[in-house]
Amino acid sequence: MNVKEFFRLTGLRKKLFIYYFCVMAMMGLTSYYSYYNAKYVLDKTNTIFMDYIHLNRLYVDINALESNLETFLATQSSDALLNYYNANNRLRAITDERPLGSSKDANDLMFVDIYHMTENLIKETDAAVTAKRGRNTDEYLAHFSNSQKISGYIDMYINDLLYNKLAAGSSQYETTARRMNLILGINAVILIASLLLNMLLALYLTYRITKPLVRLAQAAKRIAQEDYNIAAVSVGSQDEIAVLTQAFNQMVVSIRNHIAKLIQQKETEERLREQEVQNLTMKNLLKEAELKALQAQINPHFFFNTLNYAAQLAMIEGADASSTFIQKAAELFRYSLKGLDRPVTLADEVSNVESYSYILKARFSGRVDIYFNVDERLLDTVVPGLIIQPVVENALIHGIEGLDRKGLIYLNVQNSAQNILIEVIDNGRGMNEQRKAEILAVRPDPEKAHDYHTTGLGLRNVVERLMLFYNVSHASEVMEIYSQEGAGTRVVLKLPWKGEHEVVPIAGSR
Amino acid sequence: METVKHANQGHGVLRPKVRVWLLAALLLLTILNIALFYARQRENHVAEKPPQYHFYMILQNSVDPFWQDVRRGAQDAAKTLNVAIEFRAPQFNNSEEEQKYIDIATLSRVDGIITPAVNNPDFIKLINQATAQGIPVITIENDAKDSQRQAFIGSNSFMLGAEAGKLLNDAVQGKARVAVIMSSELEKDALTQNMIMNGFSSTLKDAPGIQVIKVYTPKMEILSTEEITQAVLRQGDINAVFCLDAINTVGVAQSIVDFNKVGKITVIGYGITPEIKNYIEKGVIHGTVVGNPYTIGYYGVKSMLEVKQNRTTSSVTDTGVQIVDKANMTSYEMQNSGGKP
Repeated sequence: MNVKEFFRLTGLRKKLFIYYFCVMAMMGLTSYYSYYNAKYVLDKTNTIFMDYIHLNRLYVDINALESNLETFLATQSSDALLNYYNANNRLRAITDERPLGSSKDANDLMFVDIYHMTENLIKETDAAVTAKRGRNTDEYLAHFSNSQKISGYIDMYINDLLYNKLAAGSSQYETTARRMNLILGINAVILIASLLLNMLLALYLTYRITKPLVRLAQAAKRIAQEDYNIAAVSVGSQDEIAVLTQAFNQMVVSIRNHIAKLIQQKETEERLREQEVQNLTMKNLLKEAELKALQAQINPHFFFNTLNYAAQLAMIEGADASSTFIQKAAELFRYSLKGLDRPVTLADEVSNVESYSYILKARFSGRVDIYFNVDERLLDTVVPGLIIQPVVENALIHGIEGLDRKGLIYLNVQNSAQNILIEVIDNGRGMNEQRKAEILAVRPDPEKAHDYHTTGLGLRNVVERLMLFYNVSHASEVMEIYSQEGAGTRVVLKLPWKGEHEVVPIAGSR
Repeated sequence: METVKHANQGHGVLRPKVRVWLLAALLLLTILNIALFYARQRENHVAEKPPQYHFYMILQNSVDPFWQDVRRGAQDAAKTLNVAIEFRAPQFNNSEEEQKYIDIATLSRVDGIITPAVNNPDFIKLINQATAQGIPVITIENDAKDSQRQAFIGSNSFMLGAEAGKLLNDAVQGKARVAVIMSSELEKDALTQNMIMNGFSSTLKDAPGIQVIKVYTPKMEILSTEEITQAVLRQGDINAVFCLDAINTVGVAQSIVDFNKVGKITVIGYGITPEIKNYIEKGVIHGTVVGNPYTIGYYGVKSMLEVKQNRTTSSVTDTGVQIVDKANMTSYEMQNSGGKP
């Protein structure tokens, strides 16, 4: 790993580091404080005892030196001499051991005196030994007595010093002991306080560091349970967890957006499929209508040709009225034969109704009158074929037929703001509400196509085709029926006026 | 499109309040440790500069306030001049012990010996022995003129006697019959005492009304002082006493109180102790002649340093004489409560 990277303290790492540092620093300082105090007490006690030990060794060795010298001088024993030299060496070692510090302390000065006196003592004793070996009696006795005098001084000094040290030591011990109690008390307090503080710190920091993680975990759990309606998780920090949280929040939002998009797509697809089904239905209806028309006119071509021939025959024979009648009937048939799948102009429709009315007039011989009131400007409008004639036929069959008075039918074609209004008004028997509702409750459903009136396509068929053609869902949007029983009926076709309406192409037409 | 809002409150690991507390705790601990460390360091380094020399001062005894003042003066000088000084004192006046200490100092090869001396052959021999080994000796308060000592520091005995005479003259207004009680201290050799007497007598020459009736020499200090005082009182016509040492002065004052003769006998004392001060305040003792012990101690060390550094110093330093009576007691105390000469 990159060393620089290793030491870069950011985010979580920094937090953890700071935490550990704080705890360690506190514990470290606390233990340093304890250590220092312990060392202080130990040092104090040490210095007291070190001097005792030192003085005691000095005392013992000086005594050994003197007694061995005495033995040697008295007996000239080589053992005593050896012991004498041993003590001598030890003394020299001792005096070398404690460096003569220059101090103003009275006890230190006494130490210095003792060392110097010890050196003088050794000088005297050595001189005594040399004199003894040289058999110079007077001299060795003088040196010996001198050495005894000096050792007496040293003893006195050592005693004084011991006494001083004891006095100082005991008072020092008392203060140290008193202080030690205080120090121990303070130590305990500091230790406990620092421990508590550390514990609190640990709790606090653990909570601080893990709180965002816990929140994140809770949110993640909800996501796992497919609950996407969660508020954005917020963490009060700026570390890796914050980055993680931000990414998490972004992810939740993305998932939500994605789901919304999927739903929208599905809806669109469904709408498209519905439309397709509608198209299919319309096609079916058309087919059905054509079949009906074919069934209604057995071999229409033959019938049409026959009619034409009949018309010519009537003309040749000079029966003009008959000829015209037959001519109109032939036109009517031809129009029907054109098929329903081809859009026609309003002019075609109107002329078809004219042909039909001629025949009706002839047939009912003056009992029926049909009046046209057509706005010429609308004649070029493209409309579905055979939509007016069935309405007129309906008026005749259900309104006028069997009526005592003279039947009147008015066809009005006029313009309104949104629609082209085609009114067919009769003064016939009228229809009841149930029948009206039946007609208007129509839905473009091929299953009910068999219910047509045998002689025509019927109002229902017209309504269905208009609904499909103009793509509306309610019958009332294309047809209104106003009727009063015994007074007449007014049927209004409302063709939405949307300029150039695109004609739905129908496949499979003849 | 939804967006994620940045949560951006609360920076760092800790809330500011917690941070402050934590820092305070850490700081406190650190300061505690540093303070401890420095306290310890200072304790270890009390002795700043190593002393230049190691001097050895012998005092006549360890109880007399006079010698305590000498010691104080020497200590102050040692501190100022940065020398180490070691004190030795027999508990009570003891010439032999003083001699032993001189021997010890010589054997301990100190840098200088400051001691009150006795002008006798044994003492002189020891002083000369030390000098022979290159250890300079300075005598204080009492001189050993015949030795090879480098210098003497103390009061002029003649002046001491003269001042005492003046004090007496003022006290009795020129008319008195005087008894003199000599010192029983062995160190106060005849020579010194004679010098004091000479001074005393020479002052009184100008006062014909004052007569020295008798001179006593006590043998055992206070105990015999009582007898002397009784003798003096029995004599009847003596109305003034001059004592030549501090212990006798106290003894005489005590006896006068015991015999209810306060105010009838004028006492001129020597030296100053708490008892003497007390008696002066009560009016039992009229006044006392005092050397300047602090100055003696101070100059003892100072002169010794001069000897060490310049190999020479003035052979006699007169530290002067002071008179203490009821009138100037307060100012004397002020002056001697720790000030330098």
